[in-house]
Amino acid sequence: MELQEFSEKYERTVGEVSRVVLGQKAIIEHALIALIAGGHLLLEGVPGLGKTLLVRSLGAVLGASFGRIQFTPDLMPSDVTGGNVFNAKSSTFEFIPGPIFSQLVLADEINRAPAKTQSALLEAMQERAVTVDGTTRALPAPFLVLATQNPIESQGTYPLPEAQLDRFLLKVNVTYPSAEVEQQLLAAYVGGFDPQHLQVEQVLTAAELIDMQMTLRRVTVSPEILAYITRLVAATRDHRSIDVGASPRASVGLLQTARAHAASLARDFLIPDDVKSFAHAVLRHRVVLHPDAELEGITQDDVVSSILAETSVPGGVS
Amino acid sequence: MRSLTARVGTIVWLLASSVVAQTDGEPPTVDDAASNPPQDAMSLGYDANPNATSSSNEPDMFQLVPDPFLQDEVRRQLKNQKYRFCQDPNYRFFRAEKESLCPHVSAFESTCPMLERACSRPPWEEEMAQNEPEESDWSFPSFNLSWVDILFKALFWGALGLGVFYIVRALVRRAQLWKEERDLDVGASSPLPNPRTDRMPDELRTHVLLKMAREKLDQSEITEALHLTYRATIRALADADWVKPHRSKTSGDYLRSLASNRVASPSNTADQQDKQIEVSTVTGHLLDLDRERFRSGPRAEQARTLLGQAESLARRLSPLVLLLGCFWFIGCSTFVPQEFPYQPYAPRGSQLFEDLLRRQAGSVHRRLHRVVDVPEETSTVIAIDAALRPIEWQTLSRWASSGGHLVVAAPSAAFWEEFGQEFEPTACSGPLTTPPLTIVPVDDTMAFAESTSGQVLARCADRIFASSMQWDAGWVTVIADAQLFQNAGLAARHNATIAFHLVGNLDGHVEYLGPWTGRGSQNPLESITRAGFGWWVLHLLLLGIIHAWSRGKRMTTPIDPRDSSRRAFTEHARALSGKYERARASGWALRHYAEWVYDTLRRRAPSTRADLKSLTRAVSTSEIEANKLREALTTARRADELGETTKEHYATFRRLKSAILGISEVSRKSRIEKD
Repeated sequence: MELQEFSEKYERTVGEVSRVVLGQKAIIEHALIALIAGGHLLLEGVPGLGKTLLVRSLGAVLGASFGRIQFTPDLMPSDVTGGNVFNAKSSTFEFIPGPIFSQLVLADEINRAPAKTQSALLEAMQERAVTVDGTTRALPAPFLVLATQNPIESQGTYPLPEAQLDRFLLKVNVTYPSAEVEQQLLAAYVGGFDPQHLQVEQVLTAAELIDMQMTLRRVTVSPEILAYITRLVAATRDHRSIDVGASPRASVGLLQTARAHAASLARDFLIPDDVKSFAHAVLRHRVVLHPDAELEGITQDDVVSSILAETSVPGGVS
Repeated sequence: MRSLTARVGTIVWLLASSVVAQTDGEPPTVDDAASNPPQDAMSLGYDANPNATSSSNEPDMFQLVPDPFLQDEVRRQLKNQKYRFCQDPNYRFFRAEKESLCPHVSAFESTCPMLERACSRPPWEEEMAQNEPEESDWSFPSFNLSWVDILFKALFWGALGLGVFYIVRALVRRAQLWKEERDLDVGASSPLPNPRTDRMPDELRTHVLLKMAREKLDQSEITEALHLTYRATIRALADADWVKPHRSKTSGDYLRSLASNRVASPSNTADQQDKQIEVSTVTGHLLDLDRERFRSGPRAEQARTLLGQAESLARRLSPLVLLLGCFWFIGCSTFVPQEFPYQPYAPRGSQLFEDLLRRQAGSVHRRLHRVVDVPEETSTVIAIDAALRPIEWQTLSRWASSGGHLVVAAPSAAFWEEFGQEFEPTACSGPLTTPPLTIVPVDDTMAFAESTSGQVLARCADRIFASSMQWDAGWVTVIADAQLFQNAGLAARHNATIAFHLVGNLDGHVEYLGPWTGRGSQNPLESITRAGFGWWVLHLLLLGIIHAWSRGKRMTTPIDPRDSSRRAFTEHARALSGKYERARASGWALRHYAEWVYDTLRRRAPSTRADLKSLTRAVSTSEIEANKLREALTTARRADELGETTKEHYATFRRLKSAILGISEVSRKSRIEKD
């Protein structure tokens, strides 16, 4: 796929989803970038911001198979992965695939399930495969997990373990829309807008998405940019407010998202802006704050911002 | 070189003078002086006979001819635009200057071409009178505004002090930031040093960076050239105050700040549209630069184009910088203030004489300090309008008597007291002559009565304008007034030649005294006092003493303790309480505290019944106390339900705490009594 075509398809996809999910263009772009970069997306935000709607719309626009898992405290791993069920007729065990065997999986309120169930996603997210009763089954490609979680409730929730968090390429904080956007939303509702019944046009096929993912390889990266990414990630390991820094998976993630961003602008090379614009989304969930910093009210975003402000960009001017 | 030129000029001038003298059949002058003792007279450069009376001196007077080299030098110097009275056709004279200079305007033809036009303008006083608004019937009510004056002064000094404080604080913070950045650089950048993007010296300016880029491009180091071009562009933008560069900022950051700062509000005005065009140009240029900097295999031709664009951009921005700098920092204005006549380059100033003196003499020292001694190498002391004290004249007298040449113009009474001449110069309206030349007067002329000793060098009618007398082994030349040494005086016709003829030979070192002599400070303290900073320094000293006294021995130790890797418990507690406060969880904390209190009380009175009333009665000494405790405990245990503020929670906490402490005290006393 040519980069120009890549860019056009990207824009069309964003535009189509924006018809349904109003005023959240940045979030839509992040989701699409995660999809193109082959990673998973964690959306965090209070209820009612359109997280689930976004994922559903994205699935519809892509024409991909869509599975939804509502995470609850009593959810079992087999409810996610599926399991072998005895077939009385054939007197054999048959594998009944779980909702994870979809191209687009919505893990709604992922932090409501206990760690055991959350861990069922680990292999799927990293290996794109599921092992049940010793048999490993590949998941369809492309495969993307879009998880949502609510940051305000602490009762009956299980924070995601670091290993799980690290498997999400991006963590996007869904914030309240501005007053103007909210007014537009209301006006749209008055005009008959109903996102639940809105038909979005499929503008991308799964094959095209895979083609787009392959196109990323054509985006070249200069050694300075590679060094910049490495410096950024390395800085999280030495930062005074961070207990555990980001992993090399974060470096790869940052590189891939930056490449996807460059390609979305029909560019076949990276510039520092590509890296910087995704640093927060890639790093914020991969750093564990020092207790002192946490007590002082410092957030992961503050730390990433300070790292960005302290790290020289390639060819930067002092 | 300057001295050599002056000497050659003098020799040529002397030869010319000799020729003129021989042609006219007059007695030989300088040459004769050179062959005619005393040697001191010869060294002064003019013919003199100290023993002759003034009347008998006249036939022997030196036949002076204009010095073409000196006159050329005068013309050259006066071409300087600072001599506005010569070069500015719009120059406004004060009335006194106009009346004394303009009648002789023809004498300034060759040196001051614009003087004639300046003379055609009315004097400054008249212009001011014309421009003054007519008086209205309304008169401003008069108030006693002395307190306003004091208030303004206080505000001014307060603002100044505050400004200084902020500057110092900013400098300190800047230094701290720099140190932190350096530490971070060492820490953060050490894993992967990037030689290409290593920081270059900050002082590299746009043109230097562009030059370096051009060189790199010529050496086919295209990527490096592009990086330098980018740096130059950002530097140019920073110089124009469009962006604030930082090493962590990308083009996107700069463009965002440009978009928000330069085109803040959409407008259709031409100015705003221009800005949008400028910003779009810069945006395109930066994006192109980024494209070429980071793409693989950048092309030389494209790099050249971008460099050209950067140069053009820098050129376009630089006049803007100058303009902004002009208005912001030095306050450029087309308004030219009226020049005070005695300013250095004004008609009555003495800058021209000093410049000429420096070209003519071997070395010149403009003396600011009092004359307590004269340097050994000095051959001539020139005192023009110098207000010296008697003791200083005594010093000069001693020095002159030992073989020096003292030239005094416009001498003061103290001079005459020392040198024993009891007559004062008076006004003279006659022509000033130094045969065959005539001095063009540029001010009211003063002259002395006939002297009994010395040789007359210049006359004003039948009186003496300048004379020279032997002073033991030396010479003293006295000139009645200083007009000849003023800028206007030297600019007129041949006055410069005459002035330097009166000063005499200038080989060797010259001490130049004037109204400024004796006004220099003898020590730094005096300098501070004269500058009006005495009280300030004392004030600062007093503050320093108070500060030292308050800090005692810790005066030299740093205020802040060194950061330790472990935080103190109190810091943890403070951070924890801060977190509770931010989370609005003070009610939650209070509820837990109340539960702890309840458990403690329960342990203290295990035999009581489970209800709160029995418990509080058991641990209290009176019913009132029991009620207080019960109320506090009840409120505290429901703190997170009642929706009270943090302040109210804290008040409840204190009530509970004091109740508990009271109970503890009572139980302690009862235990003691039991024991």
